[in-house]
Amino acid sequence: MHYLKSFVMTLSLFVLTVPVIQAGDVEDINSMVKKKVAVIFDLLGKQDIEKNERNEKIVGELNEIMDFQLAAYLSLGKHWKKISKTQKKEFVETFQQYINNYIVEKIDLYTNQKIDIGDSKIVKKGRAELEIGILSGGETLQVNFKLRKNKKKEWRVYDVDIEGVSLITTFRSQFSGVLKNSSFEELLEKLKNPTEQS
Amino acid sequence: MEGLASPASDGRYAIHSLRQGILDSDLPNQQTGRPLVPDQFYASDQDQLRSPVSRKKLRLKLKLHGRLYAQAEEASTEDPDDGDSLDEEFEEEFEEEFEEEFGDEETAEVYDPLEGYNRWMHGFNDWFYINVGFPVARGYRWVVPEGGRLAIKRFFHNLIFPVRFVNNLFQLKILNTGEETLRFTINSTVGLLGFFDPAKSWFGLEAHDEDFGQTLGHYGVGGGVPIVLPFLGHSNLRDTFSLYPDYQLDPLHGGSYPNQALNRGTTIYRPDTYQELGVTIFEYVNEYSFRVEEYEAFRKDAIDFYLFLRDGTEQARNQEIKE
Repeated sequence: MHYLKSFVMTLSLFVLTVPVIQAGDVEDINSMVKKKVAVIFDLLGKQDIEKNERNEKIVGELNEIMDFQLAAYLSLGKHWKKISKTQKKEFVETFQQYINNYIVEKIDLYTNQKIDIGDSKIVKKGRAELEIGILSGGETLQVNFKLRKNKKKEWRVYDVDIEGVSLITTFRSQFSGVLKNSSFEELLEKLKNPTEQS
Repeated sequence: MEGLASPASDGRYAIHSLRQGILDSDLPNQQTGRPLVPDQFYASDQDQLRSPVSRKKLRLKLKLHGRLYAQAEEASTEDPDDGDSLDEEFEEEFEEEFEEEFGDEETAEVYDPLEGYNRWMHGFNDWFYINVGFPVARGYRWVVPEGGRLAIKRFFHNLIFPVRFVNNLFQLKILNTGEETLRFTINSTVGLLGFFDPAKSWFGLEAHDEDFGQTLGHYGVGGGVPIVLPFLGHSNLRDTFSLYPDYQLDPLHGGSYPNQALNRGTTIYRPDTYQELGVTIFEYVNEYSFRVEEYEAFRKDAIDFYLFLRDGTEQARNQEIKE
């Protein structure tokens, strides 16, 4: 009898808490990430402040919602295990710098298109997606921010998916392609100076 | 569990000390309370970590203790910044978590036997875009305002309705086929030959782009080896073959089936090769005019632009097939 009671209690606890947790998650994402995304797009549309200053601000805001460590880990894939701890640290830092430059380069692509920041949806426990539609050239460009809840219960972006093309996956194949023929140091060098190539 | 009282100002150490505490109870000869260096933990515990079963057990333990510990820890920890410090624990945990999302792409390396040719053709295309295609598109853009270019884009899009119709039908997407048909009827008439899109703006009818490659993909045909086509760019074996049936359905090209039907007894559009080529080039220039900056931005800071385009295209195609 005792067991049955505790079993029922536990079960009801699960049943009751699961939806509550999810509702809280959506609110968390809204307050942590969605707000920031709105701020970023607002900054993007601003023409009255100096460009460098604006770009810096945008990168600053983005860095607050990005999980670079996870993104770097995922981008390197199986090669992550083969490098030392100091190399990992250096890689994460270089990667972060590279992404920041990468974003600054792409900022100019945005020319005041209409933005529709959609609802976030929980994919599974600790994972969510935030859908953003960018109306461009008569079509809607679908951009998905993939989010993960970290240990501190903060939602962080670890991947950006543009029309089904995941940024991390494109990095992943490029990095492993480079590492097939050259050393890790050379990859770092390339990340530091991505040169024009034909 | 004295280990817990040690440098808890850093979240990372807290976790290591926690692990240490558990291990200490497992391994009796170790002293508790000695300086907690993360690497020592890993060195001493390597055998245990090697076996997946004990690894899992350990993780469970850690989770359980972690929960109890988290409450005590909260008070002493200000801001455990795991952005700067590399947390070794995270690898273990992530490997499982992200297995299905990224795991398969990692193990299956793309089979690219034509890589030598592909890279050469990619280089040629790239040269062509940068030195010929884009300058022309820029000049064109300077002359024709965005509204006009969008209208032209819509016109061409409306024109290849037969391709979308047939391929939606092939995939048994009946509702989409109907929607496409309605769109074509409305836009060709009220939308003035397709230069405007009242079907969408007035009636909310969406386009459903499908081509023969997507039809094959829908029925499970894989992409096959990557192929870079001259001028057209990155593709694969399946989509290259699929160009032919779609070409037959494209009214822009004389001799194709819709044209034979349309042109019976009329002389509105019966192009020779040069006209056909001219129209095609015009269509591409118009398309380029929207994509110049996009291409250049991605080209500029790609680590390996060939791989970027190859895998990006493949991913985008897979997404299109799924939709």
